[in-house]
Amino acid sequence: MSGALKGRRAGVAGLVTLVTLAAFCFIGPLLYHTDQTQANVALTNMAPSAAHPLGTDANGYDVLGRLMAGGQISLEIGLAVGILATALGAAWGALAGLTGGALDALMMRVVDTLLALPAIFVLIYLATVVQPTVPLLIGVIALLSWLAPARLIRSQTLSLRTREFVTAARAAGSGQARTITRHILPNAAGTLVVAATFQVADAILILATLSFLGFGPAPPTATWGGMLYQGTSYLLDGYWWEVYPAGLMIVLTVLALNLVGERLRESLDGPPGRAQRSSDSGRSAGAETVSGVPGSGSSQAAKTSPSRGSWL
Amino acid sequence: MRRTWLVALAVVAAAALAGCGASAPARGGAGSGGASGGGPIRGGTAYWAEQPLEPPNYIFPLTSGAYYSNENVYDFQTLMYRPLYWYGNADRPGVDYALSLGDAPVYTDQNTVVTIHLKPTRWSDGERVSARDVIFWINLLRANEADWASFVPGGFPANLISYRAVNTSTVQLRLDRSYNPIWFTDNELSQITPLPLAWDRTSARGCSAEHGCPPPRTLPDATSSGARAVYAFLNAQAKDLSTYATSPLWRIVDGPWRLTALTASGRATFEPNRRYDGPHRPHLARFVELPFTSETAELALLETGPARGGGGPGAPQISAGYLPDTAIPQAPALRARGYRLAPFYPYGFDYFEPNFNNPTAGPIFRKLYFRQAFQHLVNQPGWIHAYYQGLGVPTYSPVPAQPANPYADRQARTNPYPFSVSASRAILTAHGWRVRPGGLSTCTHPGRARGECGAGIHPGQALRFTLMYPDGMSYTDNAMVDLQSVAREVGIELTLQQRTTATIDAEIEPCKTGSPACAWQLGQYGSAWVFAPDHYPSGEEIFQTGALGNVGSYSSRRVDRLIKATTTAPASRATRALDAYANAVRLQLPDFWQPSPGTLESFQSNLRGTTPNAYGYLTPEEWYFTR
Repeated sequence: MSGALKGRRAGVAGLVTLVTLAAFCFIGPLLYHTDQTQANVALTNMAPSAAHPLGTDANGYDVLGRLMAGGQISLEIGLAVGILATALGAAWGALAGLTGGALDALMMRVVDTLLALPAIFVLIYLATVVQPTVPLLIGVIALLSWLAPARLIRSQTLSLRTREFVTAARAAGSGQARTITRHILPNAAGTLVVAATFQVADAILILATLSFLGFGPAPPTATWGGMLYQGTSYLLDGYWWEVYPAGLMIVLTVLALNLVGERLRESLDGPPGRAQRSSDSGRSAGAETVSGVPGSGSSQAAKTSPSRGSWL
Repeated sequence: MRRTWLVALAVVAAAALAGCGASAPARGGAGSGGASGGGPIRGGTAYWAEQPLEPPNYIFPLTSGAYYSNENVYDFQTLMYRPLYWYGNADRPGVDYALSLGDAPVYTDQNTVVTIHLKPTRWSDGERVSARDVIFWINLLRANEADWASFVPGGFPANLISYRAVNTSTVQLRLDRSYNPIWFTDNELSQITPLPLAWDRTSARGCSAEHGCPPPRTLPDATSSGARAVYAFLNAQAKDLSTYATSPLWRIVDGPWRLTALTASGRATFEPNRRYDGPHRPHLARFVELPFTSETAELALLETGPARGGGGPGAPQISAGYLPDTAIPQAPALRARGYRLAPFYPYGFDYFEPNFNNPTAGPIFRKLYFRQAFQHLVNQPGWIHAYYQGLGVPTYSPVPAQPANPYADRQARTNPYPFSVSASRAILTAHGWRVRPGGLSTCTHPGRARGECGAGIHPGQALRFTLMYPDGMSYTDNAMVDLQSVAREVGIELTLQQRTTATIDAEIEPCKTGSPACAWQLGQYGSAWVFAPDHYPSGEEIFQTGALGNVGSYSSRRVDRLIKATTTAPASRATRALDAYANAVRLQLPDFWQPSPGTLESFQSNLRGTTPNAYGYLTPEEWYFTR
């Protein structure tokens, strides 16, 4: 993928930002030690100082340390959701597309039906009846996020299944599962990676939204959205350090992921008028060759490349 | 059910903006709160901020449990339909006979007979507020008592042997035993709201006295079946909000106000009842209750509206509102704009509940030593300072000391279990627990002997609980996070569960061990217990075994006996009985005490007569604008 990004400044900037954020969240706590579980009524809402470079929040937690802790959760959930949702969507879409017929219609109507659900309300409802935990949030957000990848991969599968190498593989006795895992998905790998990138960004935003609404992981677990939720209560009091840093982290992360995803998509699609380059990216994504048939991404990928989910 | 939840404590506070006993120039209205001078203006429109998403939705003043709320009772019904006895002597708890429909009740025959004399006041249809109106209310209650919000098994009206209208202005009640007359007045008679006989009908076209129909003795409410039918009709009518301002039923009022409009969103407009002949006739030409969708919206209007009022209707402004707790640091800015700000503390206390019947946690909660250890973890002064912006009072007793009142003794001001992690740790250690700070403490010495964990606690059982509390209130959020953090220092793991108020109301209920409803362990309503309409701070509705308000299912024979004594002691021993009850309960910890938050009320600088009512009754009839 790094080759695809070469020379594309925005994509590189996004990647650098992501790496920096990850280092901040996961390496930062090793260098900057704070207690993110012990509240302190004597340290509430303190302005930035040498002891607390970004001040403290309403519970006396160090905001800088909390940004790191919150970032870990956000990135972990985002990454997990991105992988899970893309995997589930890819399997579903590929099976539907490859099988076709009534099963395809049925599977895609399921997708359409689930897409019609107001997902944020489903999430809020679930959060009110069960205790939101990190694994649960990953599972639930993923279950509501796989629909867009499913449609995407199904669309690409419809194109791929008519290709000679797929036909050859099936003629050679390859079953559905093998065809999907060995021939369809590898040739859609580029699309999958781009979709996953956007899914990560979306999941981080969903988590931030849920946390902002008070339905995130229970205290003392920190999330950026939860920090925003708590901080906005004090925005009018001038406690800017309880709002803007968390907001900035969310914006930076999502922006960086989108930049990376956008560059990946462009590298698959190619600049306007150069859609055929997408087949290169199919190869660079590790497409398999079957029976001497070169792996082939498809120019169809230009038409089916990932677009942003919009249910939030 | 006679519990008095304030769905949000601020509701009470906001409701209590108005000043009971602050008749314009007469009782300190102009002097309460300072700000601009100038003489009173007759007329003007005052706008009062409702709590977010809490519009009034029930007008019939015999309120069922489903509709019992401050918004319906103290902010709405009592403006139009006066209770027999008025409570809150300005900002001091207690009955105010000067503002009541009835004179002080007379107790005779060793406090088994109560005679109530009504003052000569009239309904807006010209009929006298009579003894029969009181009987009408009791008849409806007797026939429908299980539906009543303040129903208590064995309580009023079951504790009446008989009741009758001696004459037009005198009611006599015969009680089933001798009761403490202070308690009976404050907690039983205080519930009564006389109803106009024009409501004594079973349909909109039903017969009534003014149409030459049967005399009062044979009106429908005189029989149980008739009373049930009348109640069903009135209850159904009360659910039709669109007719509140136009129904001939609800237009008959004996209070200082009549409702002239109610919108679907909850904007209620009142104008003075021209035929009101009671104390404190309104000075304002109009009183408007404004609905809000959020505290932020209320604050925004407060910050942008005029800090002086009194103009005509329609102007976007808040004459009387409140500062959300998180906006309290903005108080100086509002004062600079000209608003007058005043703190308010209702007469009540705040707490959170252990579920004594939870199969896992119940055996632990039933140990007094554990409750003592846990109470030591509640940092009341720290919470008030850090989370309540200084606007709160600590709770040390079920008979609170603030606001100043005639009920609390000296003990109510001292904390028997001050914040101390080391004291908590020592108590647990001394009772067979291996305390692991930052980890999970476990019972290492099970058994019933001294120094052991106690009955029902298994070896290795951990101190791990869930704590449910309402979302959206920052001081509650912060306080619960602090409690979780402090509890960890003695190895108690609290899993915080934020829930909507509706969920909490549904889940935190009395339950039997083993039932699915008994899953909750620690619960916090985000609201305080305020002594209204049961104004005597006895505990029969919250701490007595089996009481509906005793949601944690606390049960103690000793406390039950002490509670009973508060309700039956003769007047001469009433204080002693109340003190004995209060001191037992403050040490026994049937709940965990936490600070009661106050509210910072805001008033347009030239609005006066706004001394708060200690129980939260809204009394805009006492408000007036100055020049």
